Amino acid sequence: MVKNMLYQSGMAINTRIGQSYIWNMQHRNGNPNKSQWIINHNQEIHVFEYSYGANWISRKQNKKFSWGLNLINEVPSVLGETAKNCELPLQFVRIAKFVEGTQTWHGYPANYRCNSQDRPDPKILENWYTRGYIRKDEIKKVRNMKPCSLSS
Amino acid sequence: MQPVKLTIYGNFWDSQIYKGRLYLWDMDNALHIYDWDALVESMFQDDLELPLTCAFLRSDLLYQFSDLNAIFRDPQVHKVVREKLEFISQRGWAYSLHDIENFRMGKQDSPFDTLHDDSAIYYNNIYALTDSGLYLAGAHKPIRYVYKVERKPEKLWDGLGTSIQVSGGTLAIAAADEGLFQLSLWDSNEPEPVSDRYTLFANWAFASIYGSSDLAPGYLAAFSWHRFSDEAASPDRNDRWIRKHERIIDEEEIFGFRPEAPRQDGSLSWGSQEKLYLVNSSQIHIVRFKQKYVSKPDGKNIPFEHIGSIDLTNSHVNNMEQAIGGGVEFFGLIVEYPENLLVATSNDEFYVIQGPITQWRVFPRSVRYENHLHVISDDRIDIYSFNDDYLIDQRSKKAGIEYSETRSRQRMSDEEKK
Repeated sequence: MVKNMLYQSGMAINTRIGQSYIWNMQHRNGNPNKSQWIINHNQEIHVFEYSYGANWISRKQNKKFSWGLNLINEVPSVLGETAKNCELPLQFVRIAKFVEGTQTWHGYPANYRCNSQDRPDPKILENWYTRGYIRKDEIKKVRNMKPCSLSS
Repeated sequence: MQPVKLTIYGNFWDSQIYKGRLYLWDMDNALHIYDWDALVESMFQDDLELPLTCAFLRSDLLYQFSDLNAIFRDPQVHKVVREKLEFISQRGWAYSLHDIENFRMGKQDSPFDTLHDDSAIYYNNIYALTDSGLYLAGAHKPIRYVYKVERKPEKLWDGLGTSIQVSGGTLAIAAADEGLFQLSLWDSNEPEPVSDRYTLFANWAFASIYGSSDLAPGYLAAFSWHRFSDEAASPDRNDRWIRKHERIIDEEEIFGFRPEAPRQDGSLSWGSQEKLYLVNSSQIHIVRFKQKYVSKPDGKNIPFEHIGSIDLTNSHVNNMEQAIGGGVEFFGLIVEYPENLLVATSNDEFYVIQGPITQWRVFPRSVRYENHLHVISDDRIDIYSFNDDYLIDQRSKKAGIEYSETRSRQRMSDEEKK
């Protein structure tokens, strides 16, 4: 009950890694212009915590981003779907992008096929490749915005 | 005839070949530079010098417009060359990095901070798109230099892109959702927008640029050359021609039918020089592009002519998959699928390269390596050499760019200037 109120109120919560996090409801309310989470709120937090703990963090123009995977048995699993109004037919998404705001993080399913800003930094993709989560050719495909297992 | 193949084992990311040097980037973002001429010459044995030279070092020798044309035009010589090429296509060459250590001219950190998204070499400079923008690093430094490529690149642009192609002193930058840009390499201006359409990759078609995407219809950003009448308006130019943007031409106008959007039919269009292609699950439609009619089309002289199609029924690829990339060379056309590459050669054959494929590259602007196809996979680079095209009637061929004497001479002249 209390948790449900938190989900909807937009209040920030403290995560286990010492960072505060806020659920962005635009990515859960069926907004046709926004990618939508399929995983639940707690899983979203878990993906964020894991990505931050693994240091899958990049910086660009004084902003900090963390890039997450929904790992189930060490395999990147679906965590969201593309926005209905995106040029792409509705597809699953397996990468999460978290953005550091003013002392609070928020995130969304990253559709690298449609948005060039939703491509993880090559160093993070290399890390995923080294850990065996993605293939070498998928680093290239993500960077070149071509389809691969992370976009289906 | 099967392509000739040379394999180098290693964990590579990208490759370039330029003026006798092979550039290989590995997954540690180190750049290895090899003396390509010496490496291939080390393979000469048992009368293999001629076919290996033609296959890997001097593809221009095969065409009748080369500087040895009188010899190569002779039918008997043709026959011998073909037999020798067939012979070497039956065997392959495979090396480890250790095997070719003697040919390494240098190893250094890549001048670019991260694994780059795409690269091009032009006039002794390497251009690279990275996660932080577009960079330029001087390359092809003399042998006495420790570093054959400048270590500190110059940043040309903050923008992001997916691929680059250079021609005629201008870089075409495909920037996906940001559109298509072009950057003149002879002045210091920022890249200028050409189109805001989604562009995954782009290729030069003479003065024009063909923008391609698997998410949205392709298009031709049509440009044409105009004679400059007012010399005073451009006093610093040696030439009297300017390249002028005409209009954006839809794929529908070019190919004569409307593909599905978004591209649920798996179609993709692309093109280079006079050949424009649209592939779907069953065939490849072919249009001849006539640059000279771009600026003054009339009922009779239109810039696009349908010249046929290629049936994919016997191509041995899963045609139901979405094509995600394409290229064109003299020897044929390349279709990239998620798990393999299809090469449709100018002699109407198919050649399938199984993936997963990290990177593939052809060199249509080169003079000596236009028969090369570089394919990087998990543990190696395969350097293919396709050698049937020089026997094909250039005007009537469907797959591949037409080789003409004028263009050949122009490109050789450009190469000498470089």
